[in-house]
Amino acid sequence: MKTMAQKIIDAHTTQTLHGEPVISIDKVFCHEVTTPAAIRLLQERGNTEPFAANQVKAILDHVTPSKDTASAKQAKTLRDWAHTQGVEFFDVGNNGVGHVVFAERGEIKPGMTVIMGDSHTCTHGAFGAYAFGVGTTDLALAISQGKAVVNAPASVQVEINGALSAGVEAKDVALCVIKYFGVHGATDQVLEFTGSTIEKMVMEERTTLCNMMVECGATTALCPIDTQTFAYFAEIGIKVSEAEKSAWKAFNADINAPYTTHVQIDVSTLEPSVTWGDRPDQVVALRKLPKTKVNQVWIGSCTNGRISDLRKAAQAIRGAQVAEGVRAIVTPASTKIWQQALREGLLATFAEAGFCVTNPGCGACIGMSGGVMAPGEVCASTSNRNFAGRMGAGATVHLLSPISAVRAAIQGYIGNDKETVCG
Amino acid sequence: MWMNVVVVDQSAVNTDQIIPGEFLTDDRKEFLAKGLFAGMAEIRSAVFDTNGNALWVVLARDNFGSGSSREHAVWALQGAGCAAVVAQDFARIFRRNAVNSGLLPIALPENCIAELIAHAQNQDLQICYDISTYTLQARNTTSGWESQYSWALTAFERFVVNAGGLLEAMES
Repeated sequence: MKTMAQKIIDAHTTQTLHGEPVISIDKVFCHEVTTPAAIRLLQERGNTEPFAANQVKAILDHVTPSKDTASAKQAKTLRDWAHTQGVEFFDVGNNGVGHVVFAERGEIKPGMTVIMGDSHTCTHGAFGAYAFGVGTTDLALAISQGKAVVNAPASVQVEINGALSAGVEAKDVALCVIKYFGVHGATDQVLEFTGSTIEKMVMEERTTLCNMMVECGATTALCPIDTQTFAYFAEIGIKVSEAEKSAWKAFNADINAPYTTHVQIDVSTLEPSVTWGDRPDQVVALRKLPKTKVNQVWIGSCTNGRISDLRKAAQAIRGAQVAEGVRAIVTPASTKIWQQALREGLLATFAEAGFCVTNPGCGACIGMSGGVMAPGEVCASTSNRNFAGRMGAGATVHLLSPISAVRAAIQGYIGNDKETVCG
Repeated sequence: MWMNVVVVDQSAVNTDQIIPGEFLTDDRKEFLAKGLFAGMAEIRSAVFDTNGNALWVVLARDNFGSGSSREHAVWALQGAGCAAVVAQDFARIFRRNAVNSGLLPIALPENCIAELIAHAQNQDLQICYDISTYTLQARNTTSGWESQYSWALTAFERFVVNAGGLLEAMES
């Protein structure tokens, strides 16, 4: 009897080193902020060659296009290395948020092991892959040797049941789960999702959910490999044979697998939610938040910048205009999504409502470019971290769903102007 | 060696607080040190109040280093002279990054952390640790208070620390 995490780790374990499994890594993703130092570490050892060029992908996503000399040098370091080593590179005009770009290209398959020098790599657990964020030194090891040393996995089974009410999105479910565990409640654990709500979630919703599980400390989060998984690969044009489907499904957890614990969360009465403090577990129903004026609204990120997010957001505009005094920014998460949104008329809907439509990238979420806030300002954001100063020194962030973000842009505030109760 | 202590009396100190995103276009330790705790004025002044070029340690509550995977947080601390972080526990990625890059993560039980923070109030707390015996001594040079604690690394972490880093360990 094994959990899903145990099955994937066991299938990839090549040896045990001082009590910890050494696993082979199927895909190593690289971006321009955390990879240049890994390249330098390898240069110092005389060889920057990847273990297998076709299993390593590199992308500019945090600051794109480059904003200054320093970021241009970072981009050039990654670009030059990728070109020299034959690593596929996603440059300006063909890039976006790595977690979204690599997923839409079908790079991540069920049962794989995936790492990136980025904490939101857990996003890919939606596909049933053991995907986790690492720092630069672990990344350097993975680039050069195709391996990582991991903790023996311990999993919590998280059963989520109930039909979501109208206007309640995967983002609200993610915030609900983080509130349940707290920012430290799942540290060193893998969250394995199950339940009727998860069964109904399409893959883009599952990526939104898994993306944020690092915010409660989880190593990664896994969704079962099921008809939603297969439907996604069919949709992006990747043929999967019946034999492959069977092999993938074999990674699903056994009945009576040895979870550290089992939790049940009912989301049938869940409401549109928002964070109120500077920790992602400080979550409250949007209608219970005291009225809070916003200076900026941002729709984008590896959490909520996908085509389904943009469709819901555009639909929520319903001919309204962005409120005076609010800067509303929408950042499609990838070039492909940007182009799709253009074809569907979504970009026109945003632009005509007064939104600024930017090129794909992570910049605003991490306070590096494309929507950095000034001290004292407030942003309603569909991203994943409301840490103090995250989107700019001295600025405050409230996390919410794309539909709720559109409402904030139109109203100019979040919360309820009638109630003043927070709790 | 006795080291001065910078207290960050907070749970879940995140890596955005340790080194904000605006400083991530460079990864040299001496550059990153300039952005260490950039948004936390009191902590920054405590860092500058530590003795000149002497090494110092951070003392914090639980879940230290949560959030972003940026190893820059470790490098920024090291660039400013920090040798170890003493906390109740650590976020997974930060703890790995610290070990991989040679910053020592020292975890102590909640009551020990509370005791240390209580004795740090007048800024005269000093800490001395020994990796060969997994002990940590603390003293307050004003009150004369002293105490000793035990801590540990995992076998793999010890292997990495003894080798001088992850890449060195994996080459051996």
